[in-house]
Amino acid sequence: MVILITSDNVKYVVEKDVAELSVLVKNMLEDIGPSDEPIPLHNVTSTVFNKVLEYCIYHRNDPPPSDDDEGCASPLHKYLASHICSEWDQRFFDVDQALLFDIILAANYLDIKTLLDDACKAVAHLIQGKSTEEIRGIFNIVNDFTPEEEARVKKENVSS
Amino acid sequence: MFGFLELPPEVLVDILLHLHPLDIAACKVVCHSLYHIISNSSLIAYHVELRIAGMQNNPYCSLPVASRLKMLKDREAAWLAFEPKFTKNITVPFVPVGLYDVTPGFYLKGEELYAGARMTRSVQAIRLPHEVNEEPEWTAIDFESDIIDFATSIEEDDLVAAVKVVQVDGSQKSRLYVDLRRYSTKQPYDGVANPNIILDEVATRRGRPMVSIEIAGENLIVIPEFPVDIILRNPVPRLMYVVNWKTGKKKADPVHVSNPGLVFFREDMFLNPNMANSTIDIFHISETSVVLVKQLSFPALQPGRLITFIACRGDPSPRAKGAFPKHTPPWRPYANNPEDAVIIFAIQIGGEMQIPNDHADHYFMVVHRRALLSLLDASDFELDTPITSVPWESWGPSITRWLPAPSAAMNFITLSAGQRFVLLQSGAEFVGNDDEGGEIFEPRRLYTLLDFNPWNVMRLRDNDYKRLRPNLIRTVVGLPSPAQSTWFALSGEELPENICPRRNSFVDNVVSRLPYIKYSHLRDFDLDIHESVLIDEERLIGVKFVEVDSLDVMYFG
Repeated sequence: MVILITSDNVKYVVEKDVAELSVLVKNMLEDIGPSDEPIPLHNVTSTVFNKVLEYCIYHRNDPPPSDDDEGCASPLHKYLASHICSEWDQRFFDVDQALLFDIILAANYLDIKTLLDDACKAVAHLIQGKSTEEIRGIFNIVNDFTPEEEARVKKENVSS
Repeated sequence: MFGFLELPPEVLVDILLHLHPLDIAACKVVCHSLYHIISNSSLIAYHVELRIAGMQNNPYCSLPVASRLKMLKDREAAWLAFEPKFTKNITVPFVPVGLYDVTPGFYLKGEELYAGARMTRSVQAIRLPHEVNEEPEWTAIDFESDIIDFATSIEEDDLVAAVKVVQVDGSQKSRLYVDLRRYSTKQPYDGVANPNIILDEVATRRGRPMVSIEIAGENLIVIPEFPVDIILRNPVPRLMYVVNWKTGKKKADPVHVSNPGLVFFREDMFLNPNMANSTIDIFHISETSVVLVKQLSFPALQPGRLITFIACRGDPSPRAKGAFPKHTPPWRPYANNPEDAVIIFAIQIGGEMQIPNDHADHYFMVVHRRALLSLLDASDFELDTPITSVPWESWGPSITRWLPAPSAAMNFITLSAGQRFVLLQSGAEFVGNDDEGGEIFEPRRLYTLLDFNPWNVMRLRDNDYKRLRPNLIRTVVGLPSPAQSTWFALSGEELPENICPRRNSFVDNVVSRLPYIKYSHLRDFDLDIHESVLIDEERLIGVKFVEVDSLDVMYFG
């Protein structure tokens, strides 16, 4: 068992294999050696950590990601292939934007590659097939181009 | 609230890498900060170029992203200008037979045991050159007894598989089996249940079959056709064997099919043209079954006409779980994505009287693998749904391209790699008049390269009918030029090149609208006259086999 403390001082007792899905925690455990000292997670609140933990427990037995998975992101394999983006994952990421971004930051800080990757896919999904104006709307981004600049940027080829 | 743009730039890049090039283009115009992140990321630029080229990144290559991007751009530019980076002649130092294969990076050819033997025991292979100074070396894979045909999965599995038939001692039966070898060691394949997979025992008197053999991931399919059946019956009944070559287990009992040709859609799905019904049959392979899931009809044939021959090809073949082939050489940063590749069909339509070439019509049909896949939906895979046959008009015209073909084109089907399709036609060029005013013609070969990459078509549509350099004409076919498009929309008339004549075969002219770029290049790039041409991911390969056997490799990248 590993003891983790979030930034808002909530203490979690987590099984070692689950905690070690975070490369950050894994490295810290290796550094300090056998010890009962709690590990502080400075950049993660308990609200966000609850989500992270939920993901790690669900995916604890997944095979480790390898370079071989490269092609799995292709639509061909999403086609009918439920294991790539499971219903569970879809429900898991069906949260408001603020929490989704917090999960990304936490996954980035804790260094959990699969969670970061899946969360990035979830954000990409929000953008897919949308127009520039719609993307601004979704993320509440102010257009800081002058009309001339915007026209010029639009003209640039898809591949530069 | 914490916003999208406040995510670390490297995370924003990660997100963008999951998007289609058109989505990335939309993001670029959102605001200054996204514009700068996108413009300054060579990772995103490389991702976009890969998607546009229809290629996948090689995760086993150690070159930096900037170098990969430059190599990819150079390669695409060379193909777009139809300008090889170098050409190289390779001699064939053995007596070849008709068996051959071209697979990304390799050319393989059967070797005759001795001149006139009509027996092939070994396959000679070369890794095709990617640099001008490279001297390719032929290496033999000795199968030790007569082989009928072979297939390869070298870059994915280091595999060369040959089909053999041997007489069973003291019986009237022959055993049909597959001999699996490692390309690297040339030895029987280790690490599988059995390097010799027995498919069936057949009556010896049926003769030596021809076979077609295809591999995708763990699945290996063999369709033999016996001479006696070809003479006696039409359509010829054939059995298809589907096995997992790693475990040696059959996926199902042999399935009856009417055509030896097949193309994998993905590891667990393939198409097989059905000559009896005039359809493309789509099958799904599970652990314990091989099931027909859908039939796509060809255009309606005139009474008394039927499809007498179909060959098909889709290169590269899909890989296990879509993973990148791990034996790809480390200097190669990418490879064609099987999903983006086109599938080509060479089709012969003749009379029911079965005199194969008498008044037969010949066509090519080209379609993207992805477009065919998108015709399937989950309900097709439910076992109790009846098989639906989709009429030609509702699936074909918008995603295919039909071309009249010369009958000689039926001999070779290794004419496509990725989205490119190559043809070599014989002709003569007028070179001037002699002293008495007679016209002088010189024999020429006309290289025609068709590029079905939709991005390239869009890029070039404003530049059609442009002469690039002497002897080369590049045109965009099947897409109205911007000036024409209003007229096109209003009149609703078909562009003339979208209509393939019905001749004596079809009820109506065949309308097909898949656009492409056509390159026509007279002369053989100043090389010797070639009898045929092959294509792989990086090269065109002109083949000579009449006087001296040799290959001219034209390398594009």
